[in-house]
Amino acid sequence: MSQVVVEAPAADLTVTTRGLVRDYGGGAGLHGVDLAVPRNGVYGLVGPNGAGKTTLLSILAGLRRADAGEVQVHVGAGRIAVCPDTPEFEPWLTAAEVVRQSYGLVFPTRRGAAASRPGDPGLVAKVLAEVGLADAARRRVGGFSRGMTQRLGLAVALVLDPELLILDEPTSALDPAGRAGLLALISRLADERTVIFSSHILADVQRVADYIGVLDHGHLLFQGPTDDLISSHLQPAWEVRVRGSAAELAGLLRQADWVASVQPVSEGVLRVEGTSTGAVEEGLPGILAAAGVRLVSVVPVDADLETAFLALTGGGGSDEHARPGTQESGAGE
Amino acid sequence: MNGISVWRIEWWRLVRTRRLLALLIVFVFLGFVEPLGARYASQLINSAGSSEQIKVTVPPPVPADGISAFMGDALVLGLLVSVVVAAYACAIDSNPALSVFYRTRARSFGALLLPRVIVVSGGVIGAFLVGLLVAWYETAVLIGAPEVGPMLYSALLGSVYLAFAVTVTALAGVLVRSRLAAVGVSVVILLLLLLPILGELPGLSRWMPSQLVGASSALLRHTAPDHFPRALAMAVLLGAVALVAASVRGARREVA
Repeated sequence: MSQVVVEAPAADLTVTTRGLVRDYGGGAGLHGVDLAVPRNGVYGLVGPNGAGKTTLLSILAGLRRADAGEVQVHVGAGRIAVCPDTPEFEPWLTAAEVVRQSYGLVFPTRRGAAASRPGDPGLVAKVLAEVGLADAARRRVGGFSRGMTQRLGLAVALVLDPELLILDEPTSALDPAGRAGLLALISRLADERTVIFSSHILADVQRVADYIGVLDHGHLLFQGPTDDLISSHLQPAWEVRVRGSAAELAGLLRQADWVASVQPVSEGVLRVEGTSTGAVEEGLPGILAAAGVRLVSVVPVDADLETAFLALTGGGGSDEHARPGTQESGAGE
Repeated sequence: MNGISVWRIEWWRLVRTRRLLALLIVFVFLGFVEPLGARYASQLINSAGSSEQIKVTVPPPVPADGISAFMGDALVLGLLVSVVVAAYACAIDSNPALSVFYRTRARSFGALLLPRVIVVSGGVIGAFLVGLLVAWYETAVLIGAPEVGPMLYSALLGSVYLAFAVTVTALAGVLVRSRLAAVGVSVVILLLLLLPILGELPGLSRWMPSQLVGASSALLRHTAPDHFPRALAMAVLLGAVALVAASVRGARREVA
């Protein structure tokens, strides 16, 4: 049985796990996860359905126990806040009352005594405004939409001023404008605290996460800076657009040893993947000249997290692609 | 900023969900109807009968009839409603998302459960006492004034039994998670297991909290056996054990 150990603040890491196992049988669960979440910043946790993200976050939050392994959370007592993907609250309370309830549960006061932790009198209004619920402060939450409830879930976490904020799919119910606002808020919050943020929406993770952990079938396939994941799991690619047919150019490119693949995209457009960025940058002008084509443009294809994720998990995480080894990179180790 | 205490939240739960109102309606209704039934039992029986040749003779009612009729139904029908109210408050894990909110904030599971049990017990006992006052007044007007001493003792015994029922429901709510299942388990324990089975076992029956259900009748008719204090002590003891067991079990349990 593992233990969740809340320790005094460590210099560079907020959360570490060692050999974390939670076996649900049939391959489900976690199988030896070594997590290292750097202090401050956003740690994005991604993975396909059933990868073990919610189980991992639940163990970090103390809601579930691990079968084996160790969890160390280097924050002060009561300084962890958790926001599940579909939070729920007492429907007969107003939004402002739910926020005050959250505060009262963590910082109870005794009759006739001062609050055990002083707070800003305008804190409730402030956190509700931060998540865009200022106008709904006096409405009972029983009538809230799912998106509003999700934003209230963040407000009840923020009022605690946590050192570690665990967000499980916080944008899943939000419209595009709500998502953009919440992601901007998460980025701001991460200046002073650690945010662990799990999401299916990889574009959201790429937008806010400084570090990333990729879970698949209970194994941590990668953890490190987001940029490292993108660059290390993608072959450099360019889109080459010429006037007229590109068939002759494609033939020349396929003969070059620095070209990994050439794919026609449409008439006069090729996608060229090279073995390295430098090799493509050196070799491509020469072949374009040799082919005698009228060049319209050469544009590097943007590397994105989704492509890297699919490359890493084998396109969705079928069993044969599950890799028990963890690749780690750079900071955060 | 001061947060809202768990005690106030539990009070609001009772008031805003109208559960306190439901309890009051049930107990006051019983307090109004039962003495009336005891007073006019003879007329009701004879007017309901179809045969003119058979006349049922019922002894003239005494104050104990009005009060014991109320107590009998209050500790069965009223208890049933009380169990439902308790289950909806105390089955903390019945809604996992709400449970996450509470469990990741409270210092312990007991700190969540204890206020719920105490506030629900207070609401149930308060409604029961209001109903008993109504029954007392109506009995005094229609039949005759019951003695104060046995009435106060009956009020104490009934209150303790209802609080015991709330703790049993709290334990059931922790063990089975679902509110409806908690109601079912509690009803089976309180109304089917304790009353007709364990309550009838010689030797054991004197110690059963279910003895408290019929206590008022014996007290008011001065036929009270001397074992009510034992049943009272056992109800308090078992209630405390149920509360501790629920707190310990709830703390060990994972959120689904």
